[in-house]
Amino acid sequence: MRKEVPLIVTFIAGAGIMAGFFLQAPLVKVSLSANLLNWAVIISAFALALGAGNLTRLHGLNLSRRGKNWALSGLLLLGLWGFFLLGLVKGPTYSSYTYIFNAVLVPGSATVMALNGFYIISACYRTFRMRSWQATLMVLTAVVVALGRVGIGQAMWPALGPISDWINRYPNASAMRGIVIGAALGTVSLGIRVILGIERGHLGAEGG
Amino acid sequence: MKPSLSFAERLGRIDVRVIHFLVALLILLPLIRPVGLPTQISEGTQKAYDTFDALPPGSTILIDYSIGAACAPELEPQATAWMHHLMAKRTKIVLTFVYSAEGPIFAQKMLDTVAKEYNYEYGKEIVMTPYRAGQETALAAIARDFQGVFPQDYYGADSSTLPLMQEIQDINDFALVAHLANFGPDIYVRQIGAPYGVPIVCGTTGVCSPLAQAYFASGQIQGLVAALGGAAEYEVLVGKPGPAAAMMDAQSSTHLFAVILVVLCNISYFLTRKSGQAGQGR
Repeated sequence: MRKEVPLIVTFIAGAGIMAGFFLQAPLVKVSLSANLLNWAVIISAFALALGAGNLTRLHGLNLSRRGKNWALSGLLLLGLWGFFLLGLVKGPTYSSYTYIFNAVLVPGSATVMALNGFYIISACYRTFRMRSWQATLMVLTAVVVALGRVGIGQAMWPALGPISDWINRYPNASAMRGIVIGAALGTVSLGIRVILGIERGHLGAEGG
Repeated sequence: MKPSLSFAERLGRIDVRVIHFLVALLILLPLIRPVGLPTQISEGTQKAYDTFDALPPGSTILIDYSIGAACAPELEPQATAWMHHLMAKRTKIVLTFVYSAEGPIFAQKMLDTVAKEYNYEYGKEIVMTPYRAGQETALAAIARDFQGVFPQDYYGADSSTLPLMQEIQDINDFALVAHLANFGPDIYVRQIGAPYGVPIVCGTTGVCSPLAQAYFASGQIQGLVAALGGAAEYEVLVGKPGPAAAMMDAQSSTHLFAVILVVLCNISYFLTRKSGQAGQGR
């Protein structure tokens, strides 16, 4: 029964939601499919709580044992629970709550993201060498798109904008579409295997 | 004693610290003193503008305002420009937050500024729903059973007391769905566009725009505002020059610098290749 019950639950959940896409009967579309989706949203919220609990356990242990970077663990716990409690007690529209978010989290996250720009530019310099015709094609495309998307490039040569748009719209879109369709076919086949109980990785070691 | 480097070798070995310093300088200077470079409107931004503009007066739309802290510099200017356009037309707006729990804080900022400028009435013309975990699953649930997923708004008010919320049962009650997120439009196409046929407009970051282009090219999304450039273009279209236009000067200078570096490293590569010294920069 330890194997069968999760397999039956998986089948009902997967097949029920899929049926909701194809059948208009209220019993399937509303009672089964819509309710299953609403349950999934609630379960996802529990997953967030589980993540917070796991973070607390890991970093709490590291802090209590004075492990590697224990001070950072302390800072993480202070941020996690301090921000959570402030929001819980005072509400998410409380001025100090939004101030901490706007003055610490927003510039901090944006800074980390912005660092990518520095690394991308130095990486371009180190790697964009025209060693072969394929590399030459990539370098030329990158140059046209990089300049075509900004004002300075469009001021230098107005045709750069439309050429950049064309590259995005046709060669890029066709390649991305191939990747997306390939990934979708893989997802569909994996989904069918999970629903039918052929693929049992989600049940853990005992399910296989 | 180390042999001295030739000019060609030096071109290919510019210290990474020098590059990073120059990048920082090229970002800062245009921000302090913007040049005001011209902006060409891309097809995706123009189509997004036209789609919003074609909405009949009093239409209700859903905007998934999934702006996170990391992508806020790219998405917030887009959101502000959109809101100026939509609020000038008195479009009714329902805000959801599928991909970012941080989204409500940015939406609140928008309510306190842009919505106030247009005297938008909360509950009748605009409503903010709470964040729902589950990402794609949450979006599917919102599309199928809007009232069931949101019995209350973000502030805890019962949805039955909000006139705008009472108008909506499921996704078919929206004239359009737009999203602002550091994700491509794939989940919105899968869960809303394809099964319900509701038009979609996408606002996304630079890194996600190549994926989004595939959906725009195929006509599965009606408009695409991509990255800071898209935000600057939208600001031009609505006639409200804002932060994106100023930041685009900084992006222009760094893009040009990147191209110059690529040219330099290739000059070095071809010159040193002849003498068999072609190597890596540091």
